[in-house]
Formats: sequence, C-alpha cells, structure tokens
Amino acid sequence: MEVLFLQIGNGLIIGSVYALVALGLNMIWSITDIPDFAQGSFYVLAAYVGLFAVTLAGLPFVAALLLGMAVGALLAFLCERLLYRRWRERTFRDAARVQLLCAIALFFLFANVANALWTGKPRTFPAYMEGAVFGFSYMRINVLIAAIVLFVIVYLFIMKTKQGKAIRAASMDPGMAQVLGVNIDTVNSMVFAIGGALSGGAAVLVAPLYSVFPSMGDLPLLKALVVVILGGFGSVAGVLICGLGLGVIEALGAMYVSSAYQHGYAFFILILVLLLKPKGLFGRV
Amino acid sequence: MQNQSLLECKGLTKRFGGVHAVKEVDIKIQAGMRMGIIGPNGAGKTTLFNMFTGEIKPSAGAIYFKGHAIHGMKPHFISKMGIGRTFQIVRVFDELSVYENVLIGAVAKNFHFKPTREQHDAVRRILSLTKLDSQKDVMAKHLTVAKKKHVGLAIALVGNPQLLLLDECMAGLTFVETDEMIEFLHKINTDMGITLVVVEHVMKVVMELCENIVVIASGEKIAEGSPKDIVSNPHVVDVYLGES
Amino acid sequence: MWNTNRIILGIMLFVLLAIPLFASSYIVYVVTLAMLFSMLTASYDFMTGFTGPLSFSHGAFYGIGAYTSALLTLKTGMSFWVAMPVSTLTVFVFAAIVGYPALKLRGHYFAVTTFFFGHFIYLVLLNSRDITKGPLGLGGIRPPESLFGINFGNMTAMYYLILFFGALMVVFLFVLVNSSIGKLLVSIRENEDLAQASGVNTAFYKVMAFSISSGFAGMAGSLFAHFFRLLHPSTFAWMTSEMIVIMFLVGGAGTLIGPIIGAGVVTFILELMRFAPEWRFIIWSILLIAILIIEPRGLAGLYNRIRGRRA
Repeated sequence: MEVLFLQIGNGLIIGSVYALVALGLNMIWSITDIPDFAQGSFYVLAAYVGLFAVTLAGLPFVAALLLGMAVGALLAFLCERLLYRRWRERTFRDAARVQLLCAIALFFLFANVANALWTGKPRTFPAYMEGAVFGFSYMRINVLIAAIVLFVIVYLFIMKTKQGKAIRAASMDPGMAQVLGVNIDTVNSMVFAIGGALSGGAAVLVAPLYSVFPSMGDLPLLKALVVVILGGFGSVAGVLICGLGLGVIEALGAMYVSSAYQHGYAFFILILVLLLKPKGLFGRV
Repeated sequence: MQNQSLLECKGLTKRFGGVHAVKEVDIKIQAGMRMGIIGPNGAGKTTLFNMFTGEIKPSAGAIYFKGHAIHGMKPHFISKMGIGRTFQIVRVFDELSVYENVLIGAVAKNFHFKPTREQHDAVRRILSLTKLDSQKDVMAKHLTVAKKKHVGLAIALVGNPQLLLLDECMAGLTFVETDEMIEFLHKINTDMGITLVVVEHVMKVVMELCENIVVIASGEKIAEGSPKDIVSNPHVVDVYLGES
Repeated sequence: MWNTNRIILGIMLFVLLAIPLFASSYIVYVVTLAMLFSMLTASYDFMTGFTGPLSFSHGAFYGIGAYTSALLTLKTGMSFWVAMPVSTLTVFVFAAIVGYPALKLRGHYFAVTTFFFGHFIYLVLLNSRDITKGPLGLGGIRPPESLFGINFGNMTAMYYLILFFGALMVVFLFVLVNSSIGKLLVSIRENEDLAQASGVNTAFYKVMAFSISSGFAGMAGSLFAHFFRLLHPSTFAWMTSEMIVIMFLVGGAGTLIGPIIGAGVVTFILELMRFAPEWRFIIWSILLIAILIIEPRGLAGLYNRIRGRRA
C-alpha cells in the first residue's frame, strides 16, 4: 500500500514535469501551428546553465531556477524571432512542413551542441535541500508545488491580463485576432518565451533528482507532445490533468507491468486513443 | 419508387452536439434535372451537400443514389459510383499540369496500371470541352480562379459522372465568367445528360440555371418548386428579406 | 525528365559497378554505406516526397529490419536468403499496422506520432536485453551464405550484393511512380480532399505507400546487419531518421533521383568530417536550417531554379 502511495506520488512528480513542458508546447502549437521540438533542447541547456550556476558560480538554487527559466525564454524567443517567424505567413505550400523541420533541426542542433561542449557524461546536480516527508524528499515535493504555482501563474496571466486576452484570441483564430487589433508578433514572442521559461524551469526543478546529460530532454519532450495531442488543446487545466495522469500511469505501469517499457506506455496510450478516437480525446486533432 | 429518381434523401438529419444543422430533409432529384438548393447563410446547405458527398455521416435518415443506399459511405466510393463534385473554394492539384490534373480524375475512377489510350483520349476530349486545351501544360496553380474552376469541373467530368454536385460554383467569378459558367453547365446538362445539383446562396444564378429549386432555412426544407413558384412564395421571400 | 533520369541512373550504375575495380577497400566501404543510405532516402521519398506525409520513423523501420534479420539468422539458424525477404515482409506488415491508425492523422500530428514511434522502437531495442543484448550490441551476425560460389564474407561481394538489391529497389520504385499508382500518390500530396472526392481511396494509398517505403527500409536494414555484422540500438535512434530527412532534403523531395544523390553526397561529406565527430552533426543541422531558409526544395529545386523552371 505504501509502495503504491509512493509510486503515485512519483508519478505525479514526473507528470508535473511533462505538464510544464506540455503547457508551453500547447500554447505554441495552438497559436503558431508548430510542434516546437526545440523546447526539448531548451530544457537541456537550461539544466546545464542551472548546474553551472550552482556549481561554478555558487548561486542559490532559486537563482539557478530563475536563470534557467530566463535562458529557456531567451532561446525560445530568439528561435521564433529569427527562424519560425520567417515562414509565419506561409506564403508557399510547404511552409508548415518547413517550420516543423526547422523545429526538429534545432532540437538536433542543440542536442549535439550540448554533447560537443559538455560530453555525454551525466553530471550530478548538487542537492539544495535535505530531509523528507512521507518518504518524499522535499526536493521532490518542491517539483510538484513549483509546477502547480507556475500553472496558476500562467493561468492567471492568460485569464486576467490584457496580453493574456490577446493570447487567447490568437489561439482561437489568429486571422481574426489580427483584424481585431491583436499584435500577432508580440503574441508569438510571448508564447515562445513562456514556453521556453516553462521548459527551462521544469529542467532545473528535476535536475537535482536525476542528473544532467545532453539527451535528458528527449523523453520529457516526447511525453509532453503526447500530452498535447491526447487532450488539453487550448486548456490549461486539461494539460495539467493529462500530464499528471500520464506520469501516474507510467509509474504504476512500471510497478505492476514492466519497468523496462515504462517509456513506451505513452506511445501505447497514444495509439490506443487514436484507434478509438481518431480525433483525439477532445476532438481537436 | 426509388428507381425513378437518381438521387433521393429521406428524413436526412444531422446534429452537431444538440443543434440540428439539417433536420428531416426529403429531396428527390430526377435524372437529367437541374436542381438548385438555396437558402440563407448558415441554413445547412453545406452540411446537406457534405452528406451527399460522404464527407459527413448523417445522424439519421437515408440517401439513395440509383436506388443504392450511399449514406455513411466514404467520399471516394460515392465518387466512383458516379457522383462528381466541385468545391466552394476551388481546389486543384496545384503543382501538376492541367493535363495531369484531369488525367488523375480519369485514373482515380478507373484504375489501370498505366493510363490507357482511352483515358488519354477522354482527358483530351474533356480539355477541349472545358476550353483548357491551350493551357494543358500550364501548372494548375498559375491559372486564374475561373480557369481553376474549369479544371475542377474537368477533373469531375472526366470520370463520367451521372450527377454533378456544385458547391457555390460561381463564388469569385466576374459577371462575364458567371454567364459563361451558366452556359457551360447548361451545355453539359443537355449534351451529356448530366444531372446537376447546384448549391448557391446567390438567387440570380439558380433562377437562370435551375428548373427546380429547394429552399432550406434553419436546416429544414421550407419550399420546393420552379423558379417562378419560389420567387412568388411569401415564406421564401420572408426568409431572404428577414436575413438581410 | 524521365529520360534525363534514365541517363543519370545509367551513369551512376556504371560508376558504381566500376568502383571496386580500382578503388581502395576504404572507398568501397564508404560507398557501400552511401548505397544503403541511398536505399533509405529513395524509399523515404516514395512516402514523404511523393505521397506527402512527413514521417520520422524511417530509421526505426531500418532498425526493425536489421534486428529481425539478424535475430532470425542467429536464433533460428535461418539462411540470410530467407531472412532478408522475411524481415522485409515483416517490416512491411508492421508498418501497415502502425500506419493504419496513424495515417488518419493529418499534418503535424502524423509527423509527431512517427517521431514518437521511432523513439519507442529505439527504447524497445535498448531495453529488450534478453533478445537484442541492448546497449551491449548484437554481434556475431553471419555474412550471407555463399551463393553460386560467391563468398559474401568478402567486402567486394557484399558491395555488389547491396548494389544489386539497391538497383532492384530503385527500378521498382521508378516503375511505381511512373505508373498510375504514382499519379494517385501525387494527387494525395497535392490535395488530399480533392483526391478523395475524385475517387482516390486515399487512406488505402497512404498506408500502401508507407508500408512499401518502410518495407524497403527494412530490406536495407537486413543488408546492413549482414554487412556490418554488429548492431547497436543507437544506430537506429531518432538521429538516424533525422539524417535521412536531411539527405532527402539535400537531394529534393519527390524526385527519387535527388534523394539518392543527396544520400551519396551527405555520406561522403560525413566521412570527410571524421576528424571532428562531435561537430559534424552540428554542422549538418545548421546546414539543414540553411537549406530550409534558402531553398526548401533542395538540390533538385536549385537545379530547376537555375534552369528557370520547376519540377
């Protein structure tokens, strides 16, 4: 029973990482129609920046976390500004495909940059807090708490601010939003920056629990993409629920079925849902 | 009974969520007829049209083509049975020549590993009918809207359809082009015996082209008759004036 | 166009036939790898270039073919000459099973699903230690059994064998794309809704193109397994799929011959960059982004642009 409790807790913690990455991806995908694979590499780069901020510069963890988020936001912002935006008007037929290829090329690029600069060797991120409660270290619990706090912040930003309203309008109908005076350039910059910040934040939050290595972003990215496809399109709460749900299913699957294929469950769920409901759980696909 | 009409729908209904987009519509279309389906925007014309082509499955009711039930069939199957269509926003195979566009229409209906001589002949015949022969090597995306519409028609016609469904086929055409199109549709109806079903919200076109008109409003059929009957029907006038 | 292609292919075949006669064994080895990659990109072009959907699982099907063939010969003692067609067919069927639900998705959703599928296969290869030996790599794979007195333990013989099957595949694909099937596939790429309304069973043709394309990737995998004789999951990770996409884009989509040349060019430049293994993928991804910015249609697009017309 206690093991079950622990596994569900661990599932929620890893699920909150998926949810954080998925939230940014979701906003970007629904507004710009780009599955931004590059978020997976901002995740990696932010983790390294956080690691060096703590180990080399001796900064406290919170500062490293904020720095990681800033780096993620900046990189995502630059990628949109310098690359994706070039094809936004989609003046030629393959433009959508070019954006997707560019996203994957960036993912490929940054993964290899991290590998070339810091080698493939996993590095340990020093613990920033001692102690545990109910068998969960404070560091683990912090991931979940921080994720919920970030979700609430994003939710309030989208629902309560003027910029948030522009983002909502653009996610429903970008063309119409522009007619109504929404500056689509600003909206795009904002959602990419928010996405980058969330990916970066997620990475620094979990880095002390595992380790830091160049391909650490692959799985969170893929799981987050599944979360986006399965549901929660355009819904902050949907992303959180799907993300946490996937984390729990994986944790329980690892315990009761097989841990070797833990990372395959998301794929099975995806294929199963597609077979039963080809339009996705919430019919937006 | 059913054998007398080429296309027939009975109690055709489509619900989206709880809303009726189309509600218990009965229509009979005789072979050789030029039928118009009109109605204000949002009346359910497009939904009705998409059920005929197989794009949308009806929630209830039935559609018969030559006596065969076709509701719920896939679009490619319905197309092969002899129902051609055009799209409201013109669609062509952009980066292929006009000739290849029409050849695909022929090959899709009747598959041979290599297109046969007869198929090539049919393509040339249709190209001259649609006055596209001088542009047969032009890439379709470089054509004007009116010419693209002709390519769309040619793709549908090369498959020898018995029934042609035209979705707002005059949208985006100039007055002269519209008149040409009406003349062309008359011609294929009389010369080739193709039954036409025209979905329009521009009254004028339907009045000039069709011999029989069905009026749809709020998803229901509210009137049917000759153009003369329709313009003098007070209910129809109400619906149209009420809309504008 | 068709005639120019024939001439180029003829010259290529002639050069490839002649290479082992004068080139060093290192060159023969590199050209063998280039031929395998050409098989991958040409078959990838059949799906993505001609039919349209962008897929990122080609490297995974390559891997499934390689491991299936290797395991069949290792565990059951099956001859390569049986294992190769069996693994090709296995991948063909497997791709149909995966493709049927996945190809209902349009646009990015399909692409992302295939990416995920590719990674899933990599995880299976890595984690099924009992069967694939996982990260240790699967060694001890035998070369194809001698046939007509030819010993395929010899690299030159293996070179000609891969050339033979590669040429066979290219001819097969050329016949297909120049037949009515090719026209229907292209119609799906150009406008799926119009194709369907014109009577094309788009779902069937998409799955067919995906299966044929993946089946050939499986065949290339089988040839690779018995040529290289050592398999490691990382050979079939998502980076391989990504390299296939790069080679395909360098050559130009929907031309069949472009991706074949693209694979050759990229493989050679990769070999030339052996001195800096960490940096070559960085250079390639920057190159890919540059291609996307300058000419998304690749070499074939540049060629046509220079000649002032479009393919």
